[in-house]
Amino acid sequence: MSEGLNIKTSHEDDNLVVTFSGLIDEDSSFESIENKLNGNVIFDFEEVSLINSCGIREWVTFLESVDKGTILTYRNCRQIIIEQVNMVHGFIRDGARIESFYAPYYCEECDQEHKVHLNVADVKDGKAPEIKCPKCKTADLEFDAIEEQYFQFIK
Amino acid sequence: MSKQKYLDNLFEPILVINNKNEIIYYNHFFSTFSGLSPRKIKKIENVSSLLSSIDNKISLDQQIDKVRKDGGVSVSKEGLIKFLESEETFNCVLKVNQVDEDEVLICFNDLSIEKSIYDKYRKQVEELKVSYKQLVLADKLKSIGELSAGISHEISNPLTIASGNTEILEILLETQDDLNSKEDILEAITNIQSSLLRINKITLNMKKFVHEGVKSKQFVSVDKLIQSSVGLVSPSFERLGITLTCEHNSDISAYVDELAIEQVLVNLLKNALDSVENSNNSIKEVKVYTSLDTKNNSFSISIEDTGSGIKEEVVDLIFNPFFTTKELGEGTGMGLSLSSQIIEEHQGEISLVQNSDNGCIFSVVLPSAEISNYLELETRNSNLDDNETSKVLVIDEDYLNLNFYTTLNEQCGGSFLVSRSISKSLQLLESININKVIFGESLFSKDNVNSILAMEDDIEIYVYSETDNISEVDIRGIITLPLNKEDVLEKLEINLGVDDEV
Repeated sequence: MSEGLNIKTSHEDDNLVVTFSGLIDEDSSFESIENKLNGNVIFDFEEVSLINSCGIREWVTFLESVDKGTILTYRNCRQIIIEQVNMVHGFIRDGARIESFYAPYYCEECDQEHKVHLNVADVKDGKAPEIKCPKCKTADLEFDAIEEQYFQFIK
Repeated sequence: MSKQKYLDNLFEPILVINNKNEIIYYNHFFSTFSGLSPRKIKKIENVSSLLSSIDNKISLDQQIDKVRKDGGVSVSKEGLIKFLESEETFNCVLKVNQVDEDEVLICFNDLSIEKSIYDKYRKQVEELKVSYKQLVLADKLKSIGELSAGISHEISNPLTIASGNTEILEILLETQDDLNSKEDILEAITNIQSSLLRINKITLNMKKFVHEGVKSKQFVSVDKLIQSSVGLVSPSFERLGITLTCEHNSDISAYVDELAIEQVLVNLLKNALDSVENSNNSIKEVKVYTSLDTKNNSFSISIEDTGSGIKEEVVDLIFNPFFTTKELGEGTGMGLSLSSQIIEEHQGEISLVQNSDNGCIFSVVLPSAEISNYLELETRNSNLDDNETSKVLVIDEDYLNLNFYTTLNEQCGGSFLVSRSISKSLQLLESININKVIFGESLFSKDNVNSILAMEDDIEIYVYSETDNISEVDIRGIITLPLNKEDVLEKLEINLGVDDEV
């Protein structure tokens, strides 16, 4: 296992929750969970700080080891994960779904960037939902990426 | 922007600028790659402020100016950059080309991952080299451990002799007043000294064997190589009552890393010893012998035992690392693998040439000393024959002298070829242009000089100061003994990069 990647598992109702934290790169190993995932599994990426193309390669290889009958859900996907999802085939296995993710927003009033937690259901017709600034509470946040590109994974 | 829309399909980050250096287009991947949102990119008034070069290997401005002036394409060196308002760095190559009169296309080739993996690879290779050295040392130490029972027995003999003689001395000095005992005293002292010398030799041999040493080759008598190796293992053979015989051939010399070859021979002898010890064959013997192959310019050292041989099903595995037929903890399985590696590094070959219920023969074949030395020089000075450095052939039987010149090659980049025989020297002269020849005392004669000059009549001849009958031959210079670097180079009129004392 890379000194940068930690994997923890826990249970939430009938679901096995696998939480990743740290770096997913060429040194990452998924050995601790390979061939051990069954039923409903939630992958939580809340604490992933980096993923590069080598890490994706390791991830895709690991996914191939997951039993085809396992139901996969992706939760709390960081922007870096969404960017990779949109670029690399195989990061999200066919049949898997993304439950929630972070989207980049910006408040012109406060001149601050915000990573806003969204559920996939919040995105309608490929448009970023309107969000009030959590800091000043008054201004509407501006979506700080290209919608067509960022929400590609939802299509 | 519609004409560049298709560039959104590319995986490479792309920018297009106008003739005011304003960013007029960027593809989706550029935003992801740079970490710059559309809002931030919109604020950039001039592409010059987009990025900075950390190591000054990339200048985007210069590349843009160049393609605007000369047309064509500009590809930068690989360099480290970072984007506006970001601390993240990228190892990149930038490619800039003029698309039309107004527009310039900038492509980024991100090599960060390749560099990271390459750096890790280099580090792991270095770690592997260290591990390998440790493995080699561990194997040597294990050998010493296995031989120590015999070696300690070998040391206890002279210790007993020395101890007994000191007691005799004590008695003589206490009880004798007259000079009649002087001879007895001297004899006792001589016995003690020779015993101590013998112990010293054994421990030095062991120390030498274990010491890692510098991996450089030297001229050495093959006989001496075999004797040193046999010296380490013979106590074990004696203890087990197994006969170890060596055929002597003082004519064969080798140009090798002496300690490494000794390690190989000790490994083979230990294996032979174990095989014979564990065998039920009535004859308990191991033989070591050499042979010369003049046609192929090589020689071989063979070790023949009267053990029970190696099982057919594992014969192909014996040179594999970690393969052993011994019980767990008894053998590292590295002996033959390391030996094979050492011999290959000497451009030689080690093989099992005979295997039966009555024993095995392992053979180590190595190139002749002259060929080894020539190959080493050829590797060090590419196109040895074509380069203009003076090439000197040293024809000498004295190992100390020969190794003086090979050390000079190593330390100062010289081109001294060495040979211990006239016939081999003539063979070398067929392949390479030699300017100067130095004759050792024992090989200097008018006939030998004439045979050299018959190959090339403008070769300059040099001899050593203590050589006889030099007036019979036209000598270019006399080199003083003992050999000294400054004197040798001065007499030969050669300039080399000299830093260290030889």
